[in-house]
Amino acid sequence: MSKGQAFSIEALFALLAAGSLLVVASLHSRERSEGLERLYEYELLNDFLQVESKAGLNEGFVSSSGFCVKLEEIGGAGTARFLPSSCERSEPAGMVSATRVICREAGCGKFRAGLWRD
Amino acid sequence: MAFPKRFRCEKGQAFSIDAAVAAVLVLTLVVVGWRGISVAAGDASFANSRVSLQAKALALADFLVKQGAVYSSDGAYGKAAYSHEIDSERFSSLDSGELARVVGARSACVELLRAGEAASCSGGACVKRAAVLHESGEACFVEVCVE
Repeated sequence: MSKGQAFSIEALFALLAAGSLLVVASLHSRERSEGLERLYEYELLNDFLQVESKAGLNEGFVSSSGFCVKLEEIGGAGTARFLPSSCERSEPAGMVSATRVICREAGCGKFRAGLWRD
Repeated sequence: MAFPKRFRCEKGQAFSIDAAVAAVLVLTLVVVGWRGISVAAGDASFANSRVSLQAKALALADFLVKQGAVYSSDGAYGKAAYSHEIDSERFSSLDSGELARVVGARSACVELLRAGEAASCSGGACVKRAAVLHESGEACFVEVCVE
């Protein structure tokens, strides 16, 4: 192989490497940024906890939001409550959670709540 | 049978051919790289403006459910705002133009929705926050859209 051929092959490899780098960088920059969705979901979960403490959550109300809510009293004897009830079977992918002390007529309790997209 | 002579280029010829090939490769790199960078910059700019609009919608909705549209009363230490308890009268008197100006958006649309009601507001970014109506204790949504 002559010197010129060796140089050309080396340049070709360098071009392939650079091209691959550009493709990878371009693909990476096309990924969707998450934005503020998680913040919004966390705020909405806290909204639902406020509504639960002031008026009580019902199935119809939560289902119209397009989200699932799971409410569980910490240290309580009862089972977790799912709103709407069909969410008991749905996969809680990307769930945001919070704990809150909620006081109702019957007394106060510490609740763990989770929210995910239906 | 005479075998063909192996091509042996002179030093100057080899360098010229190599430089020509390298120039073509570099030019290709520059063109492809320039286009890739332009696309990436465009995508980044679009993502940034989308997040910025989302942030405005979130900030406005947060203000409304915690302060701007809630029931308030005079207390021992001044005015007390009842977070997440919407005062319908106060909500109706909101000026969406002024709200848009405060968050730095071109326009804003806000509405109160009961469960099951469809939203009529639309815009670049919309958020829906849950609250209760102070008068009736009924759960409701505050829909905010900004453009």
